[in-house]
Amino acid sequence: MTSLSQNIFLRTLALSCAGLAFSVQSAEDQWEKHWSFQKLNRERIAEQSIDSYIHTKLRDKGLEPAEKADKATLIRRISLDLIGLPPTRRELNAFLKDDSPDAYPKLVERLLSSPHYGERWGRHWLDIARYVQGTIKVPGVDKIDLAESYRDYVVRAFNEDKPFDRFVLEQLAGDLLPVSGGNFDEKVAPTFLAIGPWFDECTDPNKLRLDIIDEQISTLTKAFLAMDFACARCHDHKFDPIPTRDYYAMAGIFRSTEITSKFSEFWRDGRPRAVQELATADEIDKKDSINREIDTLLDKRFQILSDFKSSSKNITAKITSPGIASPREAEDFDGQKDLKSIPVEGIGNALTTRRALDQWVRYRFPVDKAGSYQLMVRYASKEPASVKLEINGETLEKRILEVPTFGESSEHFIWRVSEPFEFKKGSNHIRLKVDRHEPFPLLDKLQIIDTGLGLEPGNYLYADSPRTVAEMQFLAGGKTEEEVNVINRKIAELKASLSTYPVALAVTDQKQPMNLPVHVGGNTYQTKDEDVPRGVPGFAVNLIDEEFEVPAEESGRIELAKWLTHPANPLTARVLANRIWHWHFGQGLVRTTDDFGIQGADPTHPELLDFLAAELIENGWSIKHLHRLILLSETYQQSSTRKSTTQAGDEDGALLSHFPRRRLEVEAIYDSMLTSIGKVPRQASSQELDTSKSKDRALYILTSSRSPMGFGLEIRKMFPLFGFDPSGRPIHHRDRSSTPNQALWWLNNPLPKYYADKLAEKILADEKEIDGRIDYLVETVLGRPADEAMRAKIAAYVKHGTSSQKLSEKEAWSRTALGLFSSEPFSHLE
Amino acid sequence: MSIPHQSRPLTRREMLTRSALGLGSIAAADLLSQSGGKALSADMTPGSFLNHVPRAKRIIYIFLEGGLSQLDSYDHKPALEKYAGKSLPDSIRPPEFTFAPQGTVIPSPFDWKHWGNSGTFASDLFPEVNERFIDDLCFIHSLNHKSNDHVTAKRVLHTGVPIEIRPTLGSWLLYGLGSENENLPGYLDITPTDPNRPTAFLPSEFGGTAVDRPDKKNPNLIWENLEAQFGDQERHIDFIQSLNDHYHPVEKEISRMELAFRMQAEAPDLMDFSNESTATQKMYGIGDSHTDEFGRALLLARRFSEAGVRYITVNHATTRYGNLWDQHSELEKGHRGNANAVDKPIAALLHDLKLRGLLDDTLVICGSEFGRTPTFEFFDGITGRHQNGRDHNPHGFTVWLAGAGVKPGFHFGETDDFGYYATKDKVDIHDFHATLLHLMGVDHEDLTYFHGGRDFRLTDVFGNVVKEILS
Repeated sequence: MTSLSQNIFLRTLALSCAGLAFSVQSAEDQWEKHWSFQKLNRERIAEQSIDSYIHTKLRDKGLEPAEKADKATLIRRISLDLIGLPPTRRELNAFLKDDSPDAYPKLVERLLSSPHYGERWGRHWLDIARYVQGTIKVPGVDKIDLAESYRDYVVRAFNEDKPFDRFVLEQLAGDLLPVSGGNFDEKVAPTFLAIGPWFDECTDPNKLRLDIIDEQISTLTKAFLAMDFACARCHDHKFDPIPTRDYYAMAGIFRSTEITSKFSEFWRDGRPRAVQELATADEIDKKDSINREIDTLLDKRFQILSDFKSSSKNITAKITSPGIASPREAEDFDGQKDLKSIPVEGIGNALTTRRALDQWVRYRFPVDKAGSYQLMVRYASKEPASVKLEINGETLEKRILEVPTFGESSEHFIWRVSEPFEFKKGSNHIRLKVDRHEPFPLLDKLQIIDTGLGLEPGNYLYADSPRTVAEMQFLAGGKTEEEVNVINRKIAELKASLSTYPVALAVTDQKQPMNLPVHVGGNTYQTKDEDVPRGVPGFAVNLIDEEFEVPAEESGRIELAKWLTHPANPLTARVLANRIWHWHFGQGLVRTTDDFGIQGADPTHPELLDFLAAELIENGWSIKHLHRLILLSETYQQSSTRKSTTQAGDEDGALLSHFPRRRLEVEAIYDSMLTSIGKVPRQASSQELDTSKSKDRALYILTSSRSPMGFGLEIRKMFPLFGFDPSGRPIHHRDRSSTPNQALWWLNNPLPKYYADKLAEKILADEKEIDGRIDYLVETVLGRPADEAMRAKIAAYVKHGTSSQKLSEKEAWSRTALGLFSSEPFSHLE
Repeated sequence: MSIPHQSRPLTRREMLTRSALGLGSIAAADLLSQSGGKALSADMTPGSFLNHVPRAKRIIYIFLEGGLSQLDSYDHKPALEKYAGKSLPDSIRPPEFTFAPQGTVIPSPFDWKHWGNSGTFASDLFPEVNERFIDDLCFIHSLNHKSNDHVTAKRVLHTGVPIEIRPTLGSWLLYGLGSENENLPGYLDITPTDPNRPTAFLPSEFGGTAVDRPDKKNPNLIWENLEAQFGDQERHIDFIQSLNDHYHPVEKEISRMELAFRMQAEAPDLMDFSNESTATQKMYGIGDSHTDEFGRALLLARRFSEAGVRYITVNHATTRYGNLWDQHSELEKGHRGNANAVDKPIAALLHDLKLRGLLDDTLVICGSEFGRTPTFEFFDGITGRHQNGRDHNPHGFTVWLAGAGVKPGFHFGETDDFGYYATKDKVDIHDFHATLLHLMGVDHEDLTYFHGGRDFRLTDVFGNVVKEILS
């Protein structure tokens, strides 16, 4: 109880700081003194190193560092840490045999230059950037995930050790920079701003626009500054020095930035997200000029047909009075999915698509007598539409409205007559349906006619309605027809000559940048009179001796990026150094990696944090430089077992008296199973990553369609079970909790069993003797040689399977492999 | 129900758990009463903190997320009528913090009357509970804390502190008392809104297990993989355990693995309602669209509680009737809709527990993370001005308890004339937690965990057991 009472004072103090109420005056005092807002300490003493900081603190607490970890532990630790994969048997044994003093430094270099390094460390950043596989699909534009190119960019950036200040600049403002290479890094990087989660509950485009800006500001301030500026949308930040005015100065920057092609209440379907093709300026110019040529030809054709229409009043229609039964306006449907009614000038309302998923419309036609009928549909469409016609549930025609009418104005409507079908007496249903992502034509009217009229299926004119330009194509003959055909052929040729390029999300500056006023209480429609000029936050103005004037004709994203990475900015380098530490050790020097504000945790080793931040800045913001410092330290190489278990204190390793043992991220767990059956061929160091060989890895698996047969859903369910958050919000700490649900998964889910089966097959095929098999299993799965006790355990369990349980040899080995997968030494970083 | 692990030797903790509690808390309680309530053990072994004869063996905490208005349910204030449309008088201290300027007083839109033999004056928000069980409820009208926003207020309610991540009451109980049924988790979160509430410094084996949808047949059920895929899993788990011990002796993962194994023997039956009569299901409101979800949740809570789960939270957090219970606007509509969804199931739970004799040793708690203000707020930041809703109020709000160890038909604590601040017999969150631990047989000052160089407690350095409410 004594230790409790000693802490009364301190904790009472802590509680009152944490409580929500304190006056503004005391807040300002706190800001002035708060550690993370202070100038970075960049003074150096020669003998400073990571170990000297860590050991000093340990000595102060009467603790000793742990022993050095054994070599097998080290290679497994550093392999999983740097490339997210355990060492192969060959790598393990080569390292164990290499007694040279530089064996470990060589290992560090090999892994740092492995192309798989970016796949592991890029994923860390993708958590911060809220990237989730397969969420940014833009139906109707493309079926691919438009954020994939960003994911690959991040992987590349880490592999190239792109200086972090450049990395920030590209992600915030790459579209404003000249393109420097064949990968279009600058064009892809700003996708960072565009992959926020869907705002699917918002139906007010004005509010939606502000919500997007808010999401961008929140994500980037947390990512780079470990502060959430979003609080200041409605009121001055309650704890940190972020006035509402600063928020709206930044909001103006993003109000002047476009990530959508338009604003619509149908945001949910993804179409308004702006896209771009990844091609050079010349290639895009060329494509644009071909498209312009096509547009000119289309205009010309329309003109020819319009002229023809006005000069051909006396042409008789192909159908006269068709004996109409049951005329119907398209919007008088009996049921529909994902369609909506829109007004078309000249014809009233027409029915069209929301282009979400499968779309269909159904009509009920009661007829007095059973018999043979045909359907007539009046429609318009810009492109060929594969509309399926179903009569009472049976498919009659797969592409009834295939002929495009090249436009959707009233001049483009035309009648179509279907093949004959049988109606029963009474109620009958007709359904028009298209598959997901396919265009749905604009429907105006439908009617049923008696087959007695003898019409062949096809497009028709209707005598009683004014003829449209589209209909004229069927009437034109002689010279007009020839002219139109020449144009049609030319258009087809031009279209064939258009190149296609990969598509990515687009971020651009708005043509007319604008400032925003403060919105009172965050209200979309209530603003103060005066606009706040676009600009960078003012909170470190006493430290940063540079003005960041936003040019009138630009959004200001470049200035924001430069302010963030200004060497005197007290936060950016500290935040990054802390993240790198967190990703290596499982915990940051500042525990709250996403909150360096008043409410965040204090650093356990403030001087070390400043040392690392200064190293970062002074070495060209090289992340790999920081890796080397950390990985070569004694602190990193120590054992995860404490020197003496009787030594009290630092059980959780916050003071680094031992390497903090932790569960691996789900990607590393999945990839470790995958690689045990040889599914991730290791790519040579210092080579560019060949993603086609890596596509089975967890980083790609949900979008690469490469999951083992029938296991796609199981993989999707596995990820959140082991702490992956698929919500699309920034993730700063992976949940590492261990639950009975995980244990049940290891016991009974077919996915780990599948890999265990495959591994058992391999072991039995490759090794004939029990010793060889055990070596294979333990070295592959646990990344270390089998000791005698381990051999005995495994041999006993295999024997139990084959003799007591009468299992086949394969099944006995499979269960043994599953046991190893399910064990802590497999899923934990030791 | 078979418990298929009898042949395996017991682990140390199992021995402990079983001998102290598993063989029936009756035995332990007998022992305690003979020894005059002296502590059985004083060390920090998990499961060893039983200090005196417990009044309650288990808790079902019904959590109405968002903020049930005490002023529209159980804390009647005539002044609200008198001051309708006016500002609060100067005698009511302005709050230290609000998200938006305070509006004027709004009266309760509900009808109030005396209920039951105790004559408790309450609104008609929960007619079934009030009609049948008002005389069983023990009200605390003066619960209070300082956290104004949902996130920190919920943390305060569950863990005692607003910002830091600390273990929840459920985790502390599990750590202190162990599990009553070793085939099931000791702590369940039914329809959780914050999945994976971390155990902070307590080992994760003391964490809550989430049950997403209380229906075996629902595909969204979190408890998947419950069906054993191959035989002799006992030997398989022993093998895994021996691997875990191999390099780094720790117990945590073992118990997870063992628990999982036992769960698959017992949980599927518990989650299957087919052996509940139609009448019981109907009583809980299962099958009626507005009560179905919560009715299932509470029936599941009863079944798990009966099977020995020590601590169960059941969260009511639907947005079907407005934003949870968080009625910044449309108080009447939102509260009415929410109450309709929970009233019948809660009455059914109380009835069911009583019928089975379980209410004698089960404590049911019902309340929110905070109450609501007597006034509307000027803005909520997004949709502007509302004059038919109430803002958050953590300064004085009502929870009720029922069952084991608390006085039935009893009222404790008072708020001021406007129901804003607790004024008499104030109960802060540490007092509340200390009382709950006391009812469960644990001394809140003894229940400590050594971490980061010092002892931690659920009640920090505070907390007094509210003896007045104990029966």
